[in-house]
Amino acid sequence: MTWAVRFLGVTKVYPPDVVAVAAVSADVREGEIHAFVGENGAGKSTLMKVLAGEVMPDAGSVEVDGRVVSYRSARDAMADGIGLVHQEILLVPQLRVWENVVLGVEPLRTGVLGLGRVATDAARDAVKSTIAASGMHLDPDSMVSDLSVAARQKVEICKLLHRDVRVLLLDEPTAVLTPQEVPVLFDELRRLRNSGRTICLVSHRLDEVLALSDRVTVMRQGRAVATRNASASSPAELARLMVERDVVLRAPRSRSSSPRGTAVLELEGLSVARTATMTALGPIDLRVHAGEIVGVAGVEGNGQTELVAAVLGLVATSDGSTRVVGEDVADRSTRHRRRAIAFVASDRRTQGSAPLASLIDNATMTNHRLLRAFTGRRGRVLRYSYARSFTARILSEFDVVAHSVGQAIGTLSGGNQQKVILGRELSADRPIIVLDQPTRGLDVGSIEYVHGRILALRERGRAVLLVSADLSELLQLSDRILVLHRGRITLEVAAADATVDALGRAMLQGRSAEPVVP
Amino acid sequence: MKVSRSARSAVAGLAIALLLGGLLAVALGYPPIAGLRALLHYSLGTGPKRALTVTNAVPLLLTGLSAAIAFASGPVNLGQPGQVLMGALAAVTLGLHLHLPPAVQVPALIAASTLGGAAWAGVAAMARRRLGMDEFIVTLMLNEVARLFCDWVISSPLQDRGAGSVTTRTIDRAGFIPQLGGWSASVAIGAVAVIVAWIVCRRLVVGYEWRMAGQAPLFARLGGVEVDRNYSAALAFSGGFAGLAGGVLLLAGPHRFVKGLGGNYGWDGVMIAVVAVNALLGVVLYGLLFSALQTGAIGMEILADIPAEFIQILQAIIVLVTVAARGALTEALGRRSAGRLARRQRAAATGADADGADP
Repeated sequence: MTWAVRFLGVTKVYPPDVVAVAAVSADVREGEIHAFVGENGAGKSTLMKVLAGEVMPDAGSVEVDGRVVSYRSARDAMADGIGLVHQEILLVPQLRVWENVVLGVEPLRTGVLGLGRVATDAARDAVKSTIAASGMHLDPDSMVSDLSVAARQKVEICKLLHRDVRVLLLDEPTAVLTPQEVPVLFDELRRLRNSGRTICLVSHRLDEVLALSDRVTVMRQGRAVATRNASASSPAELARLMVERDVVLRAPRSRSSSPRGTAVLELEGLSVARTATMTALGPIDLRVHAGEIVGVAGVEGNGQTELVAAVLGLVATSDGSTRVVGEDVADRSTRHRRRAIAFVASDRRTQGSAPLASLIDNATMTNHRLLRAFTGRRGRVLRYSYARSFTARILSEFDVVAHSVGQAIGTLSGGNQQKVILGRELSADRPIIVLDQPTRGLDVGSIEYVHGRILALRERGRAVLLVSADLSELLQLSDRILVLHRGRITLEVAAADATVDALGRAMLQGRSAEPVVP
Repeated sequence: MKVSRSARSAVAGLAIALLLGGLLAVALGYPPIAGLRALLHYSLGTGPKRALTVTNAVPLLLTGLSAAIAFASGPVNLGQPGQVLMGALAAVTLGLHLHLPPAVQVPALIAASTLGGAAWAGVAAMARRRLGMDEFIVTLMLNEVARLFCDWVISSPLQDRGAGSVTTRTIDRAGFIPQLGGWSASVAIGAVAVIVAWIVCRRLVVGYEWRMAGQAPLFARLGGVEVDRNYSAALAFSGGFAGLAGGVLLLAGPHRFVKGLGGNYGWDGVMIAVVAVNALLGVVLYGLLFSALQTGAIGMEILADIPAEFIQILQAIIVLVTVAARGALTEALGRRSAGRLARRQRAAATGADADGADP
């Protein structure tokens, strides 16, 4: 067996302490299409960047054709026959296809004083023969600005082929394509494989991955958890490997111990446009009642972000209505909505906290406008002495391990950050709580703690909207589960009647089982 | 601990910068020790010189506050030079036409200059909110507009025809910032401005929201902060300080708008904010330091025969070294902890070897 690429314990830590890739070992055979799948932040892209020389690993090594290599730049990797196509396409729109392809490796004609001039005709012919050899349909003389996204992606691939790349890396190649363009790309990638090239691609669309690749490596939280032959695996198996935690602690819960109250969050026909012609979300109808946890499942990127943003008033909705405790909030600001909605964001670093600011500053946010004790009588002066004791109270009530209320929240562990954020959001008693991936990246103990808090909210008669990529979490906590696929609700089911398999099917294929309307 | 670390890196940076400056002086054939001694003598040597250094620091720390408040709140306000001029123009225009007792006249002119600077920054804020134009570019370009506009005003409608140079007439004496026992009252104005900035930024709800929006805009927005409105308010507030600097320059100095008024105070303020990492106390300290350098420069020229312009080189060296030292220190600390963590992860994995993916 010849390995084109071997990762041996590759580890990458982004300073100061974000472990992107943790001791990953994986092998890529020569002449195969090897997919790396996992949730966002699982470390797939970083691993590809290590191989492409864009990121230097902090520990471990990479072998190419049996040699240990350590590329210091993308140019080094390219010289060794390895090239990466980024998710964002980086071409010069004002230049023609062939000009983009030769950019950086122009054949030069020796001119006066040793200054080279581009040998235009030779360059154009060389690109033409590269395109012909690859069997791609591409006109070397088109302006890149006139090309579709799919065609631009072909130009990117062509650029690498023109540099004699043997190992082609593609980061989320289908993310920018329409459904009709995907099979065309796949045919081209298969043709490249059959001509002896090795292809690694990163994706989280499991059905596509299984259709295209020979083998699949599943990554979770920076680790490679398994490698499977695509022909012997299934989306359900990969999904399980992707989202399953090492241990799932089942908090004891009493389903329907308290009766469901009135609907406090009501979405009707809500839509969010991605572009003028594409919808990112909806139209969807969704109701969350007091004393109920509604779970939202789905493979990431199927409208969850837009759903949360629309509820909070962060994006403009293109259609439909949102009612918060009976009030139509269509024209209401995020500030107004937040009076009734507590929110725990999925991304702690940019949405859930200001990482460089103190625990006090982080715990104060929103509460300074909700709790009178934070401000003077007219609401202008911020009482830092109160903010300080308020923060100290959160630290003790939520078991946060921290040495002072003045330290930056970014210096805490993820679990402790999340506890501070939960403490902040639950301090003012609000009827609706929106939780977006509340346990992502947390250790088992913190997860259990967060789950306990969520169940307690339900007992107190609060309405909880829980978005999660973790199916076991949804099954364990929710009363009802909705599945989002391509922005639409493809399944709505009482949690008691839901199974991982049924949810997985709805997540992956968008095949609607009989809709269950409670 | 955080303060002491940044203080340490600042002191180290300053020492390195002085050393480099000394080496440069030697290379250029100037006497470094005599130069430094002359510099210190002329800036801090005697009571009146110390008073002058503190007085000269006022416009520097006002433009420094202007830049620091903006940068910490999000807006990239690079319009201090223009805002200084517009502040001075507002003060001189009112000062020529208003005749009140000094106790009212001086505060009125000070207020006018602050409003002038704020309004000029407000133009950029408006361009951003209404037209989506980047304030970074707009504030920069408005500097030129302000300069040309002021040149026209002082050479045409407000020109003092009797004077031999391009200047306005002198304002009503009632508007002069008084001297009190060898100290200019502008020092009190500077102190009040620092206190106002501190209260607004560190004690009021708006200051908290500006700071959060500057550090983590999405977090602030999700937390219910009206980020767009705050952006405009912070930009105008920041412009007010630069305008006030212009007012102080005019009312404590020539008492009329002469061509070239404002000098390099705008850019020096940006520089001070950068080295002070937008911290209020840092701005005050660096403002005093830069003022000491600029005030002592003349001594260097007289006593040690080093051209006063050398100070500008020294200032630039201080900025470069301080900023570079800060970056290098953070980088080094981050790298070290990342490397440690990576080795631990790797060791744990090879020890357990449970995660190896099997084909």
